[in-house]
Amino acid sequence: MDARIAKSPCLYFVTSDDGILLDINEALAARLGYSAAELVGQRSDLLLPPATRIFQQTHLFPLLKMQGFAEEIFLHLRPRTGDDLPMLINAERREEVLEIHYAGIVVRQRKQFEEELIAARKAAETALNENSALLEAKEALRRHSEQLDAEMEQTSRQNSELRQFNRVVTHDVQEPLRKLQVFANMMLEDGARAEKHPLVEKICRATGQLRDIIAGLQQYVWLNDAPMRIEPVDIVPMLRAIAARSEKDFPAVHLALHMPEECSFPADREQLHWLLYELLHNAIQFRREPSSATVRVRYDIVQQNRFRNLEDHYAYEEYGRLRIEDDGQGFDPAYAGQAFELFRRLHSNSGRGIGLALCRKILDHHGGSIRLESTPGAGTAVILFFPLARTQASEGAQNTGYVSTEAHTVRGR
Amino acid sequence: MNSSNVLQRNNVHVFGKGTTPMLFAHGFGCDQNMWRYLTPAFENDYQIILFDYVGSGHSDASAYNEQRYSSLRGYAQDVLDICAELNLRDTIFVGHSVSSMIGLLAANAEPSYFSRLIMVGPSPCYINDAGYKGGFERKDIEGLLETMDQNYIGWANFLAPAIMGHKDRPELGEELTRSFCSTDPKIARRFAEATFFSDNRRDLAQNSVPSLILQCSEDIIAPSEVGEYLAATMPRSTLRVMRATGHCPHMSEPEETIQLMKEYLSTAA
Repeated sequence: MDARIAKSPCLYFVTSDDGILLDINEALAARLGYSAAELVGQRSDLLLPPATRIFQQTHLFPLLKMQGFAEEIFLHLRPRTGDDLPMLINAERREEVLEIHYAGIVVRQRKQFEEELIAARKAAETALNENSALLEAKEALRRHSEQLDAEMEQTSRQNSELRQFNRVVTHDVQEPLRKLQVFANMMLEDGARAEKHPLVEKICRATGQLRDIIAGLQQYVWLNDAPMRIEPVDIVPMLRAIAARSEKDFPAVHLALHMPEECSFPADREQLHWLLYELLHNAIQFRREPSSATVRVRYDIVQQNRFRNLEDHYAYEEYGRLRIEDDGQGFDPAYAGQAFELFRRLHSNSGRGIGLALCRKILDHHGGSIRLESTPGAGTAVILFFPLARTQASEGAQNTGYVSTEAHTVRGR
Repeated sequence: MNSSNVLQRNNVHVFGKGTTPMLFAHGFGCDQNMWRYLTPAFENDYQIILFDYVGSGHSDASAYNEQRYSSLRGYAQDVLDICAELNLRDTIFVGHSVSSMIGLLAANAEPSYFSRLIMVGPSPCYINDAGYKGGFERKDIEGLLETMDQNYIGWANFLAPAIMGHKDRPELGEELTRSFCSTDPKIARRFAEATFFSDNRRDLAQNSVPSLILQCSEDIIAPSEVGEYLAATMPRSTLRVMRATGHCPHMSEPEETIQLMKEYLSTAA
């Protein structure tokens, strides 16, 4: 190196593309507490504090590689002893020899001055942000309260209508229906009549179906008032019990149930039981093979945005994702959205058409969500998301309503 | 967000003669330009998709949302939005540095979008912890944030206090945008915080998509212990240690990077 450059107040060094020091002037080496000969051949990382190494790898190197030069870059060099040297450097990459040339100056005073500027800027920004954030929050709160008030009004009216409707359906309709069934049965059992009219049997069947539908509706409405008790629930023993019960419902079907050894997450035990019962029941009812059905249960944890309706709101939280997959008949995925509507049936031989609507309601109550994936002829996967972080304060929580054991008496399948 | 806006928002570019999608996700401090040494090797056989995260490169910085992008999961949502918009299935995801974990979060959320994850210099956690060596202490990362501040001080808008949302802020000059691949120093700083203070170790075990870990020699950002930790923790992963040194093998040693990617893609999943 030219003797003048070696002693120049400009601090100068050269590295290879992969960071080996090829040359360094004495002036810089001396400031760092080394001799130039000691440093040549070493990795330049030796002279870089960790923060500067990250900056070098994430910013400086890509810049040099892509545009060939970088100007007015601030970084620190680390001397053998003492405080890091704040430097301002220019750098140039020589493509033909794969070398990077750096020239810089120490900027202690300028750095201090800049730090003060940055601190002042941060203070001003924090104050401004807090102020504008506060104003914005106030305005949003006012808007939301108005909206909430209007929605509460509407909800409470709808709720009361729903209760009246429910009373009519579940009580007032029950009585004439029961009479109809009794009379039809009497006609069937009346041995005195010589020939029985074939339509009477049909009336009996239709009234039976109607009773089932009403029982389903009762169950669905009951959920609105059901108290929620969120606690960690291990679904493995629960699924085993449900599977045992399903074998009684479908004695001719062998159910192969694959699941993890343990699988626990916070939920309302009773509602979770209904939910899993509905899903397993569906998987068996809509099986593809006449005498067997396979159900696979998987569970993992994913992060999802808690806000599902408000735009531009984000809070990523952990959800337990339960995937229940069968090898049954499946359905056209185009109908996946409709499957959750009350009395919507995807199969002609469906039952009451209330199961999935019920499942969605249970997930709603948990603050979770439900999704269907299906391929006709290959099976259906039901994917359930349960929030893990929060205990769901659903409005059902303060409801007293019915005693929980009634749940099973109204099942009436 | 209106669907056609996603392509504009993330400055998405699609090209190539193949049908299998290959989605490239840049790392912190860079933009999609960093992939220019790799894409020519794949464009005959794949459909190449390049993009910039919101706040990087030529993305639409007005779409930046502080809550969303305070978490890497928010960045993963950019990837998921693009996959949904382009209707991508069985995509080969190539992520550099922090984008490896962003890709992992995206794949955990929607496994069917992805067939392979190729991670270039990944790390699930940069800060040392009991029994885990990430390579850095908290104060090192704070030093990085300070270094970034010092480097951005020359930027026109850096010293002026910014109003939240900064939708009405005029575009920065071309030259400033080019110099650090970022449209906004404050976004860059938050990206740095989301990146270097992240801890995705718990998400590794859930990965169901086969993945390649490209571990550089002497990479100070993702040291070799981190590569070994990833390979031991993440199911269906393959670890390849590269001759390339540093943290940007796709720029410093593109031939070796391409060769390892092709070898991996030629093996059955």
